[in-house]
Amino acid sequence: MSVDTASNAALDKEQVRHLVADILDLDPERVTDRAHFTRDLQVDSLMGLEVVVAMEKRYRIRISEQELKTITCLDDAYRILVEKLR
Amino acid sequence: MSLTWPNPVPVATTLMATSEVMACDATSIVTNTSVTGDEGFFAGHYPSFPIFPGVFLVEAAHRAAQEHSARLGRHHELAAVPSARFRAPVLPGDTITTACVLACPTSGDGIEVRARCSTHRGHVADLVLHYGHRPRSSRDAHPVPLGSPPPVLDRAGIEAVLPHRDPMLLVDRVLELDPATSLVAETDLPPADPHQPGGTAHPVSLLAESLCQSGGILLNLVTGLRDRVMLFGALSGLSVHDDVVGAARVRHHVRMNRLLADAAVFSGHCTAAGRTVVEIERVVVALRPPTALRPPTEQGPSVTPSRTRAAS
Repeated sequence: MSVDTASNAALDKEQVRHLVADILDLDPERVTDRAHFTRDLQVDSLMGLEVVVAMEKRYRIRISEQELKTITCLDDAYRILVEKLR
Repeated sequence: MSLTWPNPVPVATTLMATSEVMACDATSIVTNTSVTGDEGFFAGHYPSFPIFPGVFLVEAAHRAAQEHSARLGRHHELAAVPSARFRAPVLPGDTITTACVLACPTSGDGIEVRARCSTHRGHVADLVLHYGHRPRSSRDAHPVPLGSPPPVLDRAGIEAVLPHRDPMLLVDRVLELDPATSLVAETDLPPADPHQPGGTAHPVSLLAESLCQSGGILLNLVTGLRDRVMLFGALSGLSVHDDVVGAARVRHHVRMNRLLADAAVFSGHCTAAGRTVVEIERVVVALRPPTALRPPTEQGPSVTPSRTRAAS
């Protein structure tokens, strides 16, 4: 799906899940809505930063350092994306 | 199909420690790379703190994959490094075990190699390499002309902001600097390039290293954190478009994507003779004091291996 399509239509959570899974080199099934990035998926701060930068590029948004710290799982990332693309 | 042999066999090497093939079959290969500390590159990486360059882990996996292909009588070109994630440093005295699994990807052509590097302290890197067709870069459709302006930073100026020294200081001059956003730098490969034995191409790992050093210059000029060491966290989306063979002037174009207090993300590409040879979508680096590079056993439990990366 193109960026423009993504930002104009309702944001597809599965698309976000696959993006995160792709960056983390995990099966999308492991990236559940509430799987904690640090505790459950062993994502450290640099990997988290990589995910955020990839989301910023894909959806042409900017996520602040403060917002970055609130992202602990896919649901958090999805919520921020929905707010940004509203 | 077995490709085993009675004794470990050295893999040809020029710039890094010698590797030996420890096991091999139709879909996998394992090599050991002994890092004695006497290798020439340690003189410049770094003079006061020898540490194995992170890109040499990519090189170790690439050489293992090449060796596997050679044993099968095949030749595959490195086309991409989709992911290289660095977990912990490699130090003099370590032996790096590189275990590669080769497979044909479900989509597309070529061969995908998944490699895990480890030392006696544990897991140090996870890498994915892709061998196959090299498409031309879309950048080459609209080349941006760049003249030969006088350098804004010469070698002495670069040495003032980077800890790397010969033979591992791989940037000769900075041509353009837009503070906080971008930088253009150059590296001259001499006619007698020691990294091109027998007319082989200049190693992609060294092009990546010089691009990352250019990113390091930008980062240091922006942050002024000269008491910090730039450590590789990850390198993602590296595409190889062409070889660099023989004497060449390589230009590195770096753009800062994100800068935090203790980490940064940048992207970039290298050109030679006006064409794009390598692109990197993301380089994630941590900025740490040099003490963070000490192995956990020497430093205590406060710094875990997952946060102590390979030096860039």
